[in-house]
Amino acid sequence: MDHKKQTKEDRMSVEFLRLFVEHQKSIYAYILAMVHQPADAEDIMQNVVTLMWERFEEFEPGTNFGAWGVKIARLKVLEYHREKKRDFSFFSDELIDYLSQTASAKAESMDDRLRALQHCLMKLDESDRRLMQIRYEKGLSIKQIAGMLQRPLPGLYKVMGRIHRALVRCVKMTLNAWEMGV
Amino acid sequence: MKSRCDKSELDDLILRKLDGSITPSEYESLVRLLEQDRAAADYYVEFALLYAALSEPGKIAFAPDVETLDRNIYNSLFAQLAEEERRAALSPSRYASEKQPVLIEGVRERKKRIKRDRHVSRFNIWFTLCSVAAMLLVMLYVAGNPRLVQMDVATLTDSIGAVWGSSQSHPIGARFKNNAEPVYLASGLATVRFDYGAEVVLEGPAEFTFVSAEKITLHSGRLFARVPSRAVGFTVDLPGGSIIDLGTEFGVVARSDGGDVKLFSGSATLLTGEQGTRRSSRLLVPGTASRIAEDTGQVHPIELSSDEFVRRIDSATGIVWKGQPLDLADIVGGGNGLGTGQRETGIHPATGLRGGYLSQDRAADNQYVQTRRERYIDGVFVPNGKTAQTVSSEGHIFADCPATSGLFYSEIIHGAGTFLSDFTNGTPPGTLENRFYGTPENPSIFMHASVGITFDLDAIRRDYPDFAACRLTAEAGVSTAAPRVPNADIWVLVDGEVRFQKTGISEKGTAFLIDIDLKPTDRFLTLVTTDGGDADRSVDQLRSTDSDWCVFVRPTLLSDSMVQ
Repeated sequence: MDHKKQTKEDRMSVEFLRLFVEHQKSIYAYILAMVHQPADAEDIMQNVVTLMWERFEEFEPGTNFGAWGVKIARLKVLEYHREKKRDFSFFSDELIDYLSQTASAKAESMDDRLRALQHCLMKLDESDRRLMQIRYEKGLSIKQIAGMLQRPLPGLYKVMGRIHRALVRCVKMTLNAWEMGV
Repeated sequence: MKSRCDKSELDDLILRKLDGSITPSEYESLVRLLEQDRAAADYYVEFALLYAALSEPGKIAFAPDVETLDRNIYNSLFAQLAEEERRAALSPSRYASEKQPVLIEGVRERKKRIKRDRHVSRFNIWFTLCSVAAMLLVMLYVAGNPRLVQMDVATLTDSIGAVWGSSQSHPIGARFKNNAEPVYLASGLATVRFDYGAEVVLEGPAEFTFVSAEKITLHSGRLFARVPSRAVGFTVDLPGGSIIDLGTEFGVVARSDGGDVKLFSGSATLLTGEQGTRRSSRLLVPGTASRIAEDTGQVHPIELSSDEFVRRIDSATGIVWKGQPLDLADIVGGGNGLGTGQRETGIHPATGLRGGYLSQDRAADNQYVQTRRERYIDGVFVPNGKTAQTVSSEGHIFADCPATSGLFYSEIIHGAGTFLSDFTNGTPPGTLENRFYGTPENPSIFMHASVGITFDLDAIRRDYPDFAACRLTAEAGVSTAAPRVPNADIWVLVDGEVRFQKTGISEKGTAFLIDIDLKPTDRFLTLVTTDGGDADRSVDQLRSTDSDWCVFVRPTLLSDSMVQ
């Protein structure tokens, strides 16, 4: 076996996994925003990670791995849109371009977003935070939580919508403040 | 820029879209809002990024100190969830029954949860970094084991006939800790879901150790792993090597002298050589299998059949799926599509009741009858297009259904119809192209005109998620054994739309090929035979259905991956 080749492959595996683990969330977030169903996002993500590995030699070390991943994901997302267009009413080409540009730009700062989100979560009321904890950390769906708390489902969606809106706003303000050095 | 639309409505639609519960009409509303309002589109992107960040296992702490989470609350929530799933699966009536919305939703939610892989995670950022570091350390040839705190890392979600090692007891819902004693599954089957999302089916006898929420050591035995892309990095150690997953499905056999690995889909890296030593890596190719020698670390290709591993189990239904196609004839016989049905039994097309069968002209109206006791069959009917012919419980109409005499001669039969009284010339009714069908090897559905049967694809998918996108293959025709010249029509519909038709069949024994793609959104699959429109002949007392011995042979559903 070619020892030098093997060593190079090992280094590539390690480097790829390190970078992928670091950036997978921003790539996934971009895909999730662009597709019809979460299950579709999972399928595309799997294709994207395979393609990224196959083309890893093309990645230029030192450049933004997440942005490179999003660029590859964008190809797969456009492919998905072409395939699915006949199945259901879907985004116009213009909207796809707009969402794609916006999402790929914002997804690059995912680490900062995570930090801002962590900060904002701690500012929520205790009851709202607990609700988010059950939803996301425990992994229960909103429907299951509604059943558990014996609350009407539409009402709980409204409550969850309000909490998410507050978090979106807080994350945005926090990121702006950090950018301005506040 | 501020969005002009109703914020609350927008939040609601986005949240439903992201969690996969949005209806088609709600989805259209969302698309309309985003198309009309760029500020709403910006907000949508922000919302989706937030949602994805919140969904990241272990990256976000929801309480000031995640280690203080109340274990009892957690356990009780999990037990409640497990109970809900168990009850849904144990439901004696069909899943689609309108009388049990809560249970149906339980199953749907379970499917959605598996699909989107909402992980139950109690780990904080430190642990995530620690496990990633552990994986990298292994790959960087650093000797020694990572020091990990002992904690729950996986859950036993189902088991069939599981016998555990002495002094071990693991009921469904039991949690497994890392860094604990090896677990011994003496016999039977068990499904374990790791907190980071990977799911494995273990076949006894097997011995294994949980290393972390994304790693298991298989000392001996068999394992099938299904790893969603968000759990990428899931690792199985076995004697002589490790498989590091990149979002895939693979099977592993571990022995004391090494092991075998087969990659079914996706991609994965195989590292060979002992941990702490120089290891070589290679990317596995889907569809291929490799054997690893523990002593030399050498790898060579081997043949492993695609049904070598148990891929899915369900204790409530008794399903043990090894990747086989599903047999619709078996389902007609009351089976689960894997050969558990009873051959030479039938379903009455006018009542939906299951039992034996007769050979006798009988008249019926064209009412669609829901078969509420059947798990995968939505309903049956005696087709007659004189009035609108309904072909599903959702009211799909077979618009091109021809007018018929409204007669049927026999039940819809799993098998060859061997006991029909007309079977007098030595050729069994289930014969096409001089080949006898209705056997376990060559199953068939005997459907003497005029009858129809509708399968509920969603109900099938609930038990077999791998068949979301699938394909129907079959051959159909009029039996060689028909006593006189037939005149029959054969139809296959999907959600009421004709996808296959052969009308006016007057040759006996000719098989017509059926090959139909079924999308995940297709719900009802209907097989129909009609009498060809010929009139009754009063002279020799022959009816319009005479000799219309229609048969569907090897009616099979193939999953998307099988087709590929």
